[in-house]
Amino acid sequence: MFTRQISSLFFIFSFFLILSPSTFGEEKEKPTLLEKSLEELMNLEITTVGKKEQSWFRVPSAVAIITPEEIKRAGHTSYPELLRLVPGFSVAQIDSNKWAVSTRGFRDLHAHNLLVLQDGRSIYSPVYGGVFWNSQDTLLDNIERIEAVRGPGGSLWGSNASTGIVNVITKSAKDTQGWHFSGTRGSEERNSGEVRYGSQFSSDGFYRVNVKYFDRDETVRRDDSSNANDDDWEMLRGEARADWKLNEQDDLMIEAGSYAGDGKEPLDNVVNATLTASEDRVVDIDMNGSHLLARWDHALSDTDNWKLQAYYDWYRYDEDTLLGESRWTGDIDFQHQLQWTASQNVNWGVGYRYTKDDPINYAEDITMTHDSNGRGDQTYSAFIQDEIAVVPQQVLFTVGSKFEHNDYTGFEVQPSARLAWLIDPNQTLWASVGRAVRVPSRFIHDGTLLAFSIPGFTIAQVPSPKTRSEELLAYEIGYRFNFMDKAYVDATAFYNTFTDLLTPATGTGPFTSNIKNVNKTDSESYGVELSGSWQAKPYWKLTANYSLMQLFSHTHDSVASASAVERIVESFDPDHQFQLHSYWDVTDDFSVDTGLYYVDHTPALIEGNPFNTITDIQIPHYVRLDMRFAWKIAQDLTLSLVGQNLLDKRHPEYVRTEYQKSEIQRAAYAKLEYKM
Amino acid sequence: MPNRLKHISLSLFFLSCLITNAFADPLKEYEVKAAFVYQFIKYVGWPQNTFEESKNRFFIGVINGSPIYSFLKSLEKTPVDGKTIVVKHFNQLAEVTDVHILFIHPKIVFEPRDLTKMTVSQHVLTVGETPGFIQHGVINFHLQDSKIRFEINNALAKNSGLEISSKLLRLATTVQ
Repeated sequence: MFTRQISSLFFIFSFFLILSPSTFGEEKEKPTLLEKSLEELMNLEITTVGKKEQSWFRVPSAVAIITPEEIKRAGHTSYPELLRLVPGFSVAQIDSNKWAVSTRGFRDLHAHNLLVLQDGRSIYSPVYGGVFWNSQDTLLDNIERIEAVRGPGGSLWGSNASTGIVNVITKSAKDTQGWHFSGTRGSEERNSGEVRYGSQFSSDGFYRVNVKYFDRDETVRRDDSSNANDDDWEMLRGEARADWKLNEQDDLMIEAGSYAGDGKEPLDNVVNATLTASEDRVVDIDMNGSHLLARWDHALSDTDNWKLQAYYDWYRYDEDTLLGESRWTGDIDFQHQLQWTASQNVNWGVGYRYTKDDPINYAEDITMTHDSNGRGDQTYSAFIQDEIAVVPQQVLFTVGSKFEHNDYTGFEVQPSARLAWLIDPNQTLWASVGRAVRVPSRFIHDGTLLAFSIPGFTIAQVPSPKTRSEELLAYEIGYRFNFMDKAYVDATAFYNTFTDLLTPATGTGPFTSNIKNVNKTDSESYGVELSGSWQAKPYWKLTANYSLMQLFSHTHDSVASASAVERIVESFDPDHQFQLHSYWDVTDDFSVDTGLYYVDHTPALIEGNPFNTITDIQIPHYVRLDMRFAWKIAQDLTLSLVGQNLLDKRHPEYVRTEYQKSEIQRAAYAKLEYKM
Repeated sequence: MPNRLKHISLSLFFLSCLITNAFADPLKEYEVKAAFVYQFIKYVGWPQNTFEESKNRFFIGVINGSPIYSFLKSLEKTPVDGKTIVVKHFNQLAEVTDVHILFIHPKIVFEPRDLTKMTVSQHVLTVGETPGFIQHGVINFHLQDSKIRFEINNALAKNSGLEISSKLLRLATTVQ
């Protein structure tokens, strides 16, 4: 209470300080560019959105790029919320600090088929097979773009990228020079502050450092009470990056980050392990981590280059008694691209990763084999890809594969073939087929979870060391059309067949019900993803996207309650999703941005109490309206007002167990941004 | 999380407002093209009488609010070769008069013959950025690997009384 007043005072104080004469007294010079010679000007690399869109237009896979403009204007403040913008991505907010994000099926808290990277560094937890979204973040203004690929990227990025890959790419330090400040206050975005400073240490060396703090509000309970949920969340993060152009051929990049935060998870009516009582619990979450990444790009010629990248990552995620993980990872990757012959462009690489966890922090009810010293896992990988110009500049056939050896399933091969027909500069038709695998998580492989136990009877998940990888065969076809550079349409259709999906199956043995995970489920899914953009007027842009996804699951009859398992897996995802966005520059200084989202109803069947029954939750469809008003109050000073979920006071998006009963509320925040 | 940390980050916020510094924004295409135009002035010669009439001012014309307009406007503060730059705005080609350089945005519709006629009769250095512009304009910008390049129609320049220095001709990607 007292702290809120102090923070408000600070916010108002800073606001007035920014407006003080000292900060605006100096005249802004237009430095260096006019002093450059013609030759120097000709060496400058410029960023045009056009170029990126152009190359994206020709790619034979379902790629979507979230641009800096969308990141700024959509009003979202976290990675999972930004991923809502990608056609075919399904995002559901679970509580204030958790999200279920996936694409093309299997949307769950830990969607194990989606590989997520930041600047090429994996931010995916191999123990639970998912991303701790509440631990990952950066300054929104640091993001160069977010590349989201639906479909298997097995050939380039490796396993666990079966339904999709997300890569958050941050800007070079050269593009984030000077000071940047931002402060936010709101109803859900309670308080947030960012400071960033970038400068040069030589004519070709640039660096930046930044700090970000936020404090986010709780959601509300699902029952009719208006009780707050007690799931608030705060995080403090510091990052630094340096980019250095050593010479004409060599670029070096180093970046590092560190974070510490905490959150809560509310659970209602949790039955204790001996089935004697049920209670409401609030579980504390503690997260911290650090990473260091370095990359060396070397240009061999105009067409050939190689890249060497290494990183070290450490994190600890401690959700009290529920789950915990503490892990460090070292990874080194080498990639070489060359124009091998006039018609073949080859891309190949090798990589090694070592990752080790600390046995202490798993959770109250979880034990793992290899516990005493933690488990260290090694993965060796290699990939090769050849883009063959069957008809030069017109028909490109890309064939490739990734080879991997890991400590769980041994040797894995993930081949793919893609065809791109560049019909004319305004049309592209492409098709692809590929195989991808998902390696069982450490939790499935080694973990024992005590669900409950009463004298003489135990229900627990036991380790399943003999599981194989889950396999995906994906077929996709896509078409893109560009109309006079003013409008474009992008359509993709896919068909996936999954085999050997892991399924919990009750074991044998008197007085125990040991659940082992077995590869006894097959699934198919199919769907379409459509997106389009129209620059209706020079000051008004409209974008829209639609996706349809259907999934059918078949569990082998030997598994107890096979049909229940099938129905549960089929119920995770909504069938249809639709979005419409409008970006309107009313004047040079004032803009209004609107986002309208429709998410179809989700059956959300869950395992109920007692064990082996199904409860039908039925999350209703919802329509979400977000609006953003932004004023350029002065040179480099912008004030924006964002309203989210304006049509709905509150609505649920996700229920996975009977204990999670959060609803997402209508929210608003104000943000002040200043750059120097 | 101690509230102290919250206060420290907020204090850093307002303390840092007291320090000022100025560095370049990420390089935008039109910002750099404006810098090129500034250099062109140094390496192109106009007939002497055009400057006598304009009283030692250098006129750059822009048709219909191209993104380059605001960047060219900021050049007005920096004189070149002892002459002050003045940027003029026109809605269409027919209105253009008394300029040394004319910048034509890809979205402008015009009759190529009208452009050439104006170039020759008024001794204007016409600059464009569309494929094919070089047939009826003097200089054309294009992009190669995210870098700006330009072509020059030297024959048209000579016909218009413009003398382009060999240095500029050497740096051009094609010279007609």
